[in-house]
Amino acid sequence: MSSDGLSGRLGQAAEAAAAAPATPASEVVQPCPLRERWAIEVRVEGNDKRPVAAVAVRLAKGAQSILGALTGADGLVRFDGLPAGSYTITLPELDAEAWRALAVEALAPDKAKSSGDADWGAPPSDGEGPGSWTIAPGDCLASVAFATGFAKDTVWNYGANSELASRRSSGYDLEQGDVLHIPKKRQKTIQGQTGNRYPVQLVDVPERLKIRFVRVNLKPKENEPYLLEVTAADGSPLPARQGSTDGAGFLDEPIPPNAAEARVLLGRKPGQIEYLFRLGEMNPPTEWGGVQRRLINLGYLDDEVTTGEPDEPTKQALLRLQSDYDLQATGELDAPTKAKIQELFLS
Amino acid sequence: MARRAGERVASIYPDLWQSLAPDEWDRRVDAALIDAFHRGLRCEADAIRYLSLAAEYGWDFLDRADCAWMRRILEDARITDSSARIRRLFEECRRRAAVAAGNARQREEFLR
Repeated sequence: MSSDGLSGRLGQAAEAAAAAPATPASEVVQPCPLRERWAIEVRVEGNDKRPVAAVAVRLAKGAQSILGALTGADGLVRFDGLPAGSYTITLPELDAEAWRALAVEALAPDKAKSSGDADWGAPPSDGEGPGSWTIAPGDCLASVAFATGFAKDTVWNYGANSELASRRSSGYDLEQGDVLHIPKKRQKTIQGQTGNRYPVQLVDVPERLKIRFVRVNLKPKENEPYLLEVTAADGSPLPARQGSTDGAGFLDEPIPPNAAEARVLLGRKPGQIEYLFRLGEMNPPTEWGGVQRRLINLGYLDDEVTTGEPDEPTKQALLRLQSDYDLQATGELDAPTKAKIQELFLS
Repeated sequence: MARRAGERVASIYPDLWQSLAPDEWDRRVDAALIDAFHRGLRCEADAIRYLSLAAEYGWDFLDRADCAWMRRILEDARITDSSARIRRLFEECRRRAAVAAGNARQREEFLR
């Protein structure tokens, strides 16, 4: 099925839906001209000012009536059909430190008013949250914090995680089976007036993907054109981005914290190479599996032979690396060798 | 309303409509709209959205594992308005299709 054809057919369906009645026939009533209805909008953006989709936003009228919605691709949520007045806005899935309110904006007159009546519901029970998170392949501090609604620092600096933090160089060096403790969420609210838009910013969105490309001799692949395709954890594709590596061979692009996979097509024809990165799946350099993944990425070890154990191919790879960098040729993962690997790999 | 929505979607998917035996299209539209009704979708605009997704992704799309993400959106309790749920699902399908098409074009250009 061609994605162009799919896009076109759904476009036609969207036009047909827009032209069709949006009110059930049984509920078609003439609105009272004396009863004005208003709107409130909430816009969610990342710290790069780009819109963030699929963020839950809730509008409450008193303690018992709520409207709930998710931001669209434009980062916007619009609550229509509101009597003029004040309402409580929350981002119910996010901890107080995970977002900040920006300066309120007045809606244009034609956007400030609306029609119909909002369909209020009862507030759902939000639950207690997971309490802890056992790291699986693909997880890192950023993805766990994003999934649980926290800022990274809030989770990493949580007292219950101090022992783990002392064993790992950072929240990006977690190993499968590590347990991150998740604090209790604190709610933050905004008092919103009808006729306004409330922009809010997520503090840790986006994440950044930094990859350094080097040649066999470890010289940087500088100024190489690339095409980056990223897929989120739910399989959702993100728009591809094109660019060039910098003078040190780096690709540096914003990605959502729940990005799962990045494909990079690098270079010009005929020497183009395609790389696939499963994000968050790198074990820490304190584990043999993590050392071997780094040796593979640095070109010293064959992808096919990794065992997660200190085996003969790994010893030979370490010997080659030690020889290249004038380290003592032990074939062991001694402190200078470990430091060199981390220096070359940048983590 | 159901007849109009069915006819409108048939005009967008003429190959599918013609491939079905007489009455089969109507039978599938009826079954899909009963399901849509139980999901709180009552207006013609939402019926067109729901039927279009069924025609595009398969009449059993909400029962299939590869479409689990669609079901999650359609049953997302964080969205209190059921009409807003189908609109969101429909727009997400359009967004994914547009991104996939745009990415395929960019890849083709990059490889050229």
